[in-house]
Parts: sequence; structure tokens; C-alpha cells
Amino acid sequence: MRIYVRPRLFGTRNLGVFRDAIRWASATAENSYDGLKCGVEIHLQLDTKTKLFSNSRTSFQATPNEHVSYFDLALPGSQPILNKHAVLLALKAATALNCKIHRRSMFDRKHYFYADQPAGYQITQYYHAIASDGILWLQRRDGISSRDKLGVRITQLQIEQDTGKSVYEIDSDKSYIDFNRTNHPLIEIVTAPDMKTPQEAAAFVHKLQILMKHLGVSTGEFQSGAIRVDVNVSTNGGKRCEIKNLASINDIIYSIRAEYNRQLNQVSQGRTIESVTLGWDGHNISVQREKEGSLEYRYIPDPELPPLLLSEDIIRKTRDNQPKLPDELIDELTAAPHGLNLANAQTLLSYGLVDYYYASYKILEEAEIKGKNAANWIINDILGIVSAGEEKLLPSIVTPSRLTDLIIAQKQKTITKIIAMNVIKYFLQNQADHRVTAEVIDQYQLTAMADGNILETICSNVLEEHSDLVELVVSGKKPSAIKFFLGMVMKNGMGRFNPQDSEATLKRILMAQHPEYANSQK
Amino acid sequence: MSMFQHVDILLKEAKTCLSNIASLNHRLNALISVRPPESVLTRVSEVATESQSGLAGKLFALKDNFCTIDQPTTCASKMLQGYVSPFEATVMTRLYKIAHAIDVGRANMDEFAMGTDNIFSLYGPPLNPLYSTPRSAGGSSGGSACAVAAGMCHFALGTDTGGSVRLPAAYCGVVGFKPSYGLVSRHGVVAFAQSLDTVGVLARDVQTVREVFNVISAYDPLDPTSVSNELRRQLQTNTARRRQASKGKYKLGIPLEFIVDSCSPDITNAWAAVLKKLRAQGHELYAVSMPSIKSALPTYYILGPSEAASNLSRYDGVRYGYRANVDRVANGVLYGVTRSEGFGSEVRRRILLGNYNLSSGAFNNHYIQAQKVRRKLQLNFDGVFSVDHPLEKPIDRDDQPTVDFLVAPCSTGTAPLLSDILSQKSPLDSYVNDVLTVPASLAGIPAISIPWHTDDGKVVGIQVMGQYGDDDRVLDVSEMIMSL
Repeated sequence: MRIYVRPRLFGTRNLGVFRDAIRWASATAENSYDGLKCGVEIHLQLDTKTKLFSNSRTSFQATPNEHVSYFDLALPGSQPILNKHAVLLALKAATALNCKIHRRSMFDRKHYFYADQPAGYQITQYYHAIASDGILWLQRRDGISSRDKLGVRITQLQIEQDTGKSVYEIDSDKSYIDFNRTNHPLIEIVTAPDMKTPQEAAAFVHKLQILMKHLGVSTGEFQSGAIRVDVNVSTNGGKRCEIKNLASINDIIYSIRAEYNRQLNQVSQGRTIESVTLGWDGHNISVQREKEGSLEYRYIPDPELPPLLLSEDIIRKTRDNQPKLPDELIDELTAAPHGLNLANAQTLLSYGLVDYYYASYKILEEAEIKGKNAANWIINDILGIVSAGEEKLLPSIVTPSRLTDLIIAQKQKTITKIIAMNVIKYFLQNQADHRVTAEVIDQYQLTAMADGNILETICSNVLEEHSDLVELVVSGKKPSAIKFFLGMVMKNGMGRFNPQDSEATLKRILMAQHPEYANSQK
Repeated sequence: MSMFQHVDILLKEAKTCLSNIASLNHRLNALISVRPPESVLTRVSEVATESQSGLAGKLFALKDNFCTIDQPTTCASKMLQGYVSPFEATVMTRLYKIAHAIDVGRANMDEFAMGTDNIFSLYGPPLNPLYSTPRSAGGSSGGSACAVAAGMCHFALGTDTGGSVRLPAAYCGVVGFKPSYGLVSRHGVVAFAQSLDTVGVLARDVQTVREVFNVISAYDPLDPTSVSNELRRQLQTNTARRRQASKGKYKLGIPLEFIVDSCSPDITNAWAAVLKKLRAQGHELYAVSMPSIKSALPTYYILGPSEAASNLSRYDGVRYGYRANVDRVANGVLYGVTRSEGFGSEVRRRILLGNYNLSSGAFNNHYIQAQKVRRKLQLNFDGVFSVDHPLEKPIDRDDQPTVDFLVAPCSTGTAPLLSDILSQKSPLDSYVNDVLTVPASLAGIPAISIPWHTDDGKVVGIQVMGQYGDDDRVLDVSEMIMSL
């Protein structure tokens, strides 16, 4: 069996990037954003199986045009049928954002011609959206530094269709359209301009991502296009400009900084700020479209879709059935008796493993095993060995009882940590095997070999094979080379011997064979 | 009757239809595509041996805006020339599989159902078969009415958005029925104005219309505007109760706002004659007033084109249909060339009108106001009908007499000469033809045109309208009037 090294993970990279970006943003003097006001418009793909008005499947990176229905292509005679699951997710999102839910909302058509808009209009909620007047609170631990609390007001939350995707060929005048994404359900969340620094805008978006993922409303990932962000920026009460299609937290921070500077430059040169639409290419901010107000969308209520009517009952039930939200969970995890540090608590939350952790913690508590074992194992060890997305399987495959069996076994020195990790990997790769941990350990004869003779033999063999390095260790020139021997012993012993015993045996043999080493170790 | 006699009769009828097509369609231009006769006869034989019921083995024509999977659905437009739909309309499936009826050809129409004389067609206009001079067959379902009147089929499907089944039926002297909105599925019917479009039936007698209506009127989960089974059951209960209560004698209303100056003497005389006969039969007649009818025509011409502009936005040549050689001319609008070339003049006119009404400057004044008038009109109808609207709270009707049905003309004149129409100065001259049919469209209520033969050999369409959901009894009254 191989010994696993912990790779940098997909999700931790996101969290890491966010933390880096926030650190940068607070390092550059954030009080240099005087007069800045930002609002954001976020488009979030809802995590439904089928599309908003047809029952073709939602997808990401599927073969182009593989998940397309007649309605998605706007074929003559096709009609919309509303996906109620999308409405439910929108309702969950709106409830968590403390919005007022409108019992009666409507679907409207927003007309514009573009190749990725088959019907020539997008179905959205312009006149009467499903929710409005909500708020999301940020605190310092969410990544803001200039104030203790920031309440970002949600002016509107509406349900709408996603568009198709245009694909351009390099050096070609052809563009291709993939309609898989057409009619994917979205919610658009619009905030008031309550954010005063790029950091605050980034913190808001990040918190929203975590919240929506936690609720199962959206995966909230930039990479898959599940979240798209537009930012509105104004300085000193002037006209606001919109930066469209920001694809990462970094983009948000840097583009706001660039736009703030652009606006200040304009003003210092005596020019007024015009309301423009801008793009950010990663380095520069550039004007894309003049005069935001000149687009004529000819909004009309969709004549085929009746008003969306929500009963008091469903609104109340959604509120009552809301799970504990991230803020409350972080509070719990960082307080006694768990006492996790903020980063670890956030990690558990962002991987959706809080319940998993709680269940494991409880079992250990009942077994009177003290210490932060569940947290350490999950965060430091297991997340290091699973591949991206595999962590979703942990609660059902490496169940809390299996996990705690391993933890207890390791504590009792029945197995080593390395063996435990291998067992976990085995479970994930052999999901049909439902046996308890003890049986698996037995079958693979994984219990730590207490047989000192075998350990002795292995150590001797290792030292003999690498006699050249022995010299380095015993002479004191490179004492740390013993770690190499230790590694070889672990490898040859297939990880069944715990490191402490192995190291002790190595040293004992060395001391016996090399008296000068024995002296140095005294 | 024995099965052989049954098959014989059906084959004979089919052969008559096919022979009429062969001899007349070239001149009348009712059908823009025709099934090969042998395949039709084979199918008649097959079906007739399987089923003896109602419509089995009968022939029908379908307006060119009903999607089928074996023939192009063009809506008489260059924009959809050659377009073959991958799915068929629900009503087609029901006619094929439940009624075992056989389609004999696709009927001519105004392009995308916009027009009142069927002159805006890629295939040229059909001619009214009742006249030797070239006269209008009416629109937009001109081909459907013509095919039925010329004996090319037993019945035809059309669509009625502002009168497009009733008006051609009136001109061609056949029965044309527009059911209550939402009873017949629009899934697979190419949309013009979705809150107004209604699938309608044309035939030479009311019995056939009723049989077809019974087959195609059903809940369709694929149509978001389809009336639920629950409501349909309620409507059936209402019908049974009311039939028992009325015992074949009705209170009939004469809507005063339908007396318009533009009505020709032929029309008003025929109307008067019908009313006289009805009174002689023991039915009660009342004059009733619905003031909002005066605003109905402009309301229709704001709402209809607005929805049309929206529904026709999808025709850009990218995924199907006509595509010009260039997507845009220099500095021009994307798709401008395709849409200018693919759409005919009337369609372009209505799209422009619709877009204007939807633009932010005009929206509150035009579109919103029109919707309010539409609502008022519906309440006006509720005020005169003695039966309640099944979807509304009952209203106070103390101040005027209430009636079971309204009897009025369908058109302001008999079928005009095509030469007169083509020499009209303004398209508005055609729009005013719809003044008597749009009220029922805006209110979504059932309405039918019944051919009335005058003493001097003319035929005039007499319109009967009923409360929403009272379709069966509208057909009852129609049968009764046709027997007068």
C-alpha cells in the first residue's frame, strides 16, 4: 500500500485564495477607498435536476447540445412548464436572506436578440419578483476589516432563465452555440450599494457562496459558472458604472480597485462620470457599452405563464425547516466544547461536513475519548487524501461509526494512522463493502504488529541496505537522515508498525552497533 | 349497418372529397399540400375496419400552423418554408389516435395567422368557393373554410385569435366554432398571440363540429394554459343542470354595440330575420349593452401585435427556418436581413406595431391600458350572461336583463371581392372587419358562426356567443338555429 501525501485540494484552494485576497486587500490601505460605494448583482445557477421551464437535464461541460428540449430551442409550438423544484430553492434562498416573500409574483419576458437567446427573449421576473427587502450580515470573521458589522441589503431576488453559451474558434469567423445551458434555472440577487471597499464586496460574495452551497440551493462555484457576478461602482455620489461578468473573488477585488481609480482619474481631469458598462480582463478595466439606459427590453408579462402563487403554508414551512445557517454553526464550532479555530470551522462548513463532524464527535464523547480527534482527523488527514468531490461521499461511506472505530483503534494502538488512512481509502474505493471496520482490519491483517522481532529484522535490513547513510547519522553530520530510514521501515513494514516504535528500534540497533552514536544520544 | 356497408360509405365519401380536391383545388387554392389519394383511401379502409365510431375514417384538413412530423409546417411563410417539426400538435395526436380521422392536406392561411382575407400567404389567396367571381374566403383560416365549403373534407382545423375561424366560416357559408380559451390544447400550434389563440373547428354541420370538439377538448399537461380536469368536470355538471333547466328555450341577447354603421344591409337583414324566427319559436329576446365593446378593436390591435412581436422574435434563421445570406448588413441590426426577407408585409407591420406598444415610452399608455379594457370587457360579458363565469366570483347583475346567449352577426358584410381588398389604401381597412369577432376573443368565451341562408340566395354568418365554459350549450343553440 502506498503512503499518501496530502495534495492541495480544489476546495481548500478556493478558501485559500479567498484568504489571500482578503489579506492583500486589507494590507493595501483600505481607507484609500473614500467615497466608494458598491452594489452587486449575482446570478446563481440553481442545483436542480431539470431546467426551469422544460424537463431536459441541467448539466455542466456535457457534450454540446446533448441536453436540449424543444422549448429550449424555441421551436414553433413549444411551451413552458414550470419546474417547481426551482421555485422551492429560490424560496429557500430568499428565506435565508431574510427577504420578504411575495405570495404573488409573475414571469416576464425580457426581449433582446442574440444567438444564445433562442426565443429572442429571456423569461425573468421584472415587475413582480418572488422576494425583496432582505439582508445579509457580515462580521469581521467573514473577511471585512473596516467595521465590526456590515448589513448588505438585498433589494430583489428573482427567478430567471440562463442563456446558452457562445463558443468562439480562434482565427475563425464562426461562432458556435451550445444550448445545454439555455433555460437552466437561475436566481438573480441584487443588493443595495452598501459595500464601501473591494474587500467588503468580496466578503459578501464569498459569504453568499457558502450560504447557498450550505442550503443546497447552488454549488456556488465560479469555475463551473454556477455563480456570475456584476458589480456596480460609484464614487462620491456620482453615476454608477457596471463591471460585468467577474469570474473570481480576485477579479472582484482588483476590478473594483481599478474602477475606483479610473473614476477618480476622470474626476481629477475635470470630466463627469458617465454611466457605462465595463469589462475586466484580469488586468485592465475597459468600457464596453455607453449609455446603459438605451437598451429597450420591451418587458411584457409572459402570456402563457400564470402568476406564481405561494401559500402562507409553504412560506412558513420553508422558514421552519431552514437548517442551522453557517453563522450559527461557526459560532457553535468555535465555542466550547468544540473550540475549533475559525479556519477549521470554516473548512468543515465549506465541505458540508459539519453534521459528519458532530456525529463523529458525539460517538467519541460517549466513548470518553478526549481531545480534538474528530476535527483533526477530518480536516488534517482525511481531506488530504480524498480527491475533489469525494468528500461528499464521506458521511455515507466512511460513516461516523466507521471513522470513530478507526480513531479509537489508533488511540489504542491497534492500528497506525497510516493504516487508518488506507482503510478509509479502501472504503471509498469499495463502496459495496459494508462491513464494519474491525472486520476489514482483520481481513487485511492490518493490526499493528507488536511482534518486535519482525520489526527488528526490518530495521536491520534497512540499515544494512543503506549503510552509506548510516555513517551520516551516527557521525552526527546529518542526524535527520534517520527519517529516511524511518520511511523505509514504514514502507517495508507496510505501515503496520507505528512510527514511535520503529524509530525507537532503529535507534536501539544503531546505538548497539555504533557506540559513538549511543554516546551522542545520551 | 354491416361493416362492409360502413366501409363502403366511408370510401365513397372519401372518394368524393378526393375528387373535389382534384377538380377544384387548383383554382380554389384551399390546400397548399395534399396527400396522395391512394394512401388516403388505403388508410380509410384500414381505419373503417377497426372502428365504427364517429369520426373514424373521416377526412380533415389542418391549417398550416399545426405541427406534424411528416410534412413541413410553414404557417404560409417564407420564414418556415420546409420546416419539419420534430413533434406533433396534441390535437393531431388525438385526432389520429382517438378519433382515427385522416388528414387529407394542409390548408392555406394568412402568414402566421395574421390577416382577415387570407391574402397574406406565401401560396397566394384561396378563393371563396361560393362565388364564381374571385372573392375572399376570409382569414386567417381561409383555406380551412374553403376546403370544407368545397367538399374537400368532412371538417377542418383552424385557429381563431381575433375571429380567424368565425370570419372565414361566415364568408364561405360553413360552421366555424371557437371554443372557450384553454379547453383545446395549443401544444404544437404555432403561436401568434398566446393569450388569444384558440384552436377552432370548421364543418358543414354542427354535429360534426361537436364530434371533433369532444375529441380535441381535453386537459393537456404539456400546455400551461390548459384547463384542469377539475374545472372540466365542473363545466360538465353545469351543462347538464342548465340543459335540464332550460328545456330548449333560451333567453337571447342582442348586443347593442354590435349594431355598427359599417354593417351592410345584407347583414342586418339576415340578423333581423334570424331574431324574428327565434322569437317565433318561443325564445325571449332582450337588448343588452356592453359599453367596453366600443374599445374592443383598438384593444385587440394593441394586445395581439404586442404578443405577436414577442412570439415571432424566435425566427432568426439560426436554429431552423429561413436564413438570409448575410446575418447583418454593415452597421445594421443582427438578423435584420433574415427577418426582413423571411416575413411578409403584414407580419412585419404587426411586429413593428407590437414593438412600439411594448417600448417603454408607450407601454403604460397602450399595453397596460389595453389590458385594463380587456378586463372590463370580460366583466361586461359577465354582467349580461345569466350564468356565472366559473372562474370568477358571482357579480351583481340587478340593473339589466341577463341572457343565456348573444346572437349577432360575424362580419360587417358578405365576402368582398379580392380586387377590392387588394386595392385598399390602408391596412386598417381590413382591421375593421374584426370588430364583431374580437370581443369574444378578448373575453375568451365560446363563439360560433352559423351559415344563414337568406331568401335572396345569400349566405350570412350568424354568431352565437355564450359564457365561458358553456360550449356544449352554444353548440345546442347553433343546432337549433340551423334547423330553423
